[in-house]
Amino acid sequence: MNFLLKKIVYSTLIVILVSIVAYFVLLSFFGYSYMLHVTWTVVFALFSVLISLGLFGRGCEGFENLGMIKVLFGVVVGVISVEELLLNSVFAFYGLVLSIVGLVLMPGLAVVFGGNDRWLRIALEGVALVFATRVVLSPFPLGILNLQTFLPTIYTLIIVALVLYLMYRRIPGRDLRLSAGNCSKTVQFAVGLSVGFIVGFVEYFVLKPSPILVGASFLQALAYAAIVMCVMVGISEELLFRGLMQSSLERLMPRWEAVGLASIMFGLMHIGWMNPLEVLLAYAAGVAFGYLAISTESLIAPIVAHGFGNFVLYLIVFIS
Amino acid sequence: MVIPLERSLIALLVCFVLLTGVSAFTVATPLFGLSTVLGVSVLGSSVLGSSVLGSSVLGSSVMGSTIVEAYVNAVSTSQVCLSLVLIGLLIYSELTNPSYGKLRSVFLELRRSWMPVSVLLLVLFFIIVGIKVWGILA
Repeated sequence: MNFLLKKIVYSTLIVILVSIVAYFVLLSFFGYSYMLHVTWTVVFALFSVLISLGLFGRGCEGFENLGMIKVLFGVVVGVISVEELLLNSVFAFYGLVLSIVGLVLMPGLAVVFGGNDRWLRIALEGVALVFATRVVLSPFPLGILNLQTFLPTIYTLIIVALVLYLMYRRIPGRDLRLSAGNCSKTVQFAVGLSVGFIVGFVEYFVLKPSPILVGASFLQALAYAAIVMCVMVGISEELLFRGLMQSSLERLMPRWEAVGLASIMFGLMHIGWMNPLEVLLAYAAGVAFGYLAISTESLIAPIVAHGFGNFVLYLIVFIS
Repeated sequence: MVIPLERSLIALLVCFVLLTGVSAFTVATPLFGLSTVLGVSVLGSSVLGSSVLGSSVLGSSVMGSTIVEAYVNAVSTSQVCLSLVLIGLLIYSELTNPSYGKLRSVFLELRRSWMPVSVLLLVLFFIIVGIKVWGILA
């Protein structure tokens, strides 16, 4: 096992083990309640940041202002946790407001802390785009959109934000791993499909979600899962988390820490499911997608894995 | 053949818009319900009967409906916040326009950094206005 993979695997396993133990300890204290989610999320965010960013000292040489950057992104993870918890509670208004504040504040922080460090700026502006994924919910009151149009519209707006940003900053596609990669596309597709199948299969048993299209025919459900859950969700989330966030963080800190940090943010964005195991699964899947991106030097495998994972999940739901 | 990034991004955007249109016609019977509020978020999984560690939790509780009510209020109030922030950003962009004279570089950097945010908020603002107008006309 190579050095990078070893560090990624060890830190991920420790985070998952600690988080699961914490979940059952907290469950015995609070029972199933909103308080359980709040306390567990705090524990997960703290431990995962500490373990991912602080466990391994070796290999951190050569990065400037690493301590400051780690503290900064540790705070960012904390703010994302609070925002997600608020958004999925009776204090949803404060969650949306915090998203808007984050969207505006992060580019400001990028100017203040970024200085001449282009990648620190891009990373902080990337966090603004993470908040943007929640701000785009604001224009749509209850009942305006139905299920066929809600997710596609939201993900189109997320792509609008990403495209606007990437075109404005003129970041070369190769820097975000928007390239063919270092191995054949067939191999990348095969690896992506395999990883995606495992993720989707496990996710089904974690979530056991209800069918999203009640009353739809098999073909209609298949088309929806393929178009929305596979293509739109896969491309936009991977472009944001692995393309923009992870790639920029890799220039600021060791690679395994960048993978861990981008995956923690990705996991925290799944708090809305109100299922800690889903947050952990998303975190672990994020780590796997991140490693795929690094090892293939392309986003093809992560996009295929993410999209196919979602597709498999909703296909099993429909069939079952 | 190497396609410039800008062109591929625009192609991606057009593709997403087309797929949204296709998706709207994917299912004949529109499903309106609580799951449409937050999509993959809490209500989609809980109110429609998801389970956590094997037991149905939020679906049968009053928590789901309370969150729906909070979310409905949150959306309408956050639209005001979004609009106010947008107005602030537009005023800042105008005030820091280099054609008015020399400025400290930090103000210009902030202007540049906030530009994509301003454009995104402007797009969202027009959607809010469009939905309001459509609501009045309908």
